[in-house]
Amino acid sequence: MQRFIAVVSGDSMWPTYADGERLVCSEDVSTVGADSVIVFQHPLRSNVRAIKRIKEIDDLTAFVEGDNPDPLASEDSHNFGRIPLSNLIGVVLHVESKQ
Amino acid sequence: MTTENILPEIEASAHCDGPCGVYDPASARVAGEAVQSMTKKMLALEYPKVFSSESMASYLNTMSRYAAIKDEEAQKCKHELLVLWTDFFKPQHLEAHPELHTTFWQAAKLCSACKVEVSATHAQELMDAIEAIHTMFWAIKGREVPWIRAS
Repeated sequence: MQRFIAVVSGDSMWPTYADGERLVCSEDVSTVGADSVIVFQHPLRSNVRAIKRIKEIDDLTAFVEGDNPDPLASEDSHNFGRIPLSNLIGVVLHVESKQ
Repeated sequence: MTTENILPEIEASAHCDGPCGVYDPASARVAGEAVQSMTKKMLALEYPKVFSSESMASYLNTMSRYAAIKDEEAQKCKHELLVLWTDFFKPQHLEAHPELHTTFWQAAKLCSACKVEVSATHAQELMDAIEAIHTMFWAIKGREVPWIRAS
């Protein structure tokens, strides 16, 4: 499966991931579950790819949430509802190593 | 070079619900300046030297208008500060600005003090608090914006 870099834009995943952090991701989403951090197609804005953590998942959809403890710091399933699993683009593996 | 250096790259949005960048402490500063201006005008207004119904009506009308504007602008200032405090500032900002909560709490209390008093001291302390918030706000935004007053 293809890997890619997701560059975090914003603070909704703080303190886990900071604005500007570069994350190595995999397109293999077959093993994602609760607590996985995923990159996905925003359900209401076709030009936006977002990053959030899965809080709860079933066969077809997932409830995703930011890590920031401030309820105003994240646009997630509390705003746009559950996302279809077909919107998943990748899963975060680790922070890109600095060379 | 590692294989990670050649991987395709995308932006992953991690923004908040509200559009970023719509906040500005200037709204609180303008309201705060109005409070200070009305306070100074109230303290400087002289009691009529010639006592008459007309002179007293003019005096009371002017004084009450100053008081009404002071009260209204102090409430507006408090609202603007509370929006900044609760909506713009986030937990991660406390790391660099541990004084954030105390500064806002005192600023909000000074708005109330300026409503119930005619105090030049508290009006100046309110402006000092708003300036401190202005400095924190623009430091977080990574921009150098000078503190400029309209009055």
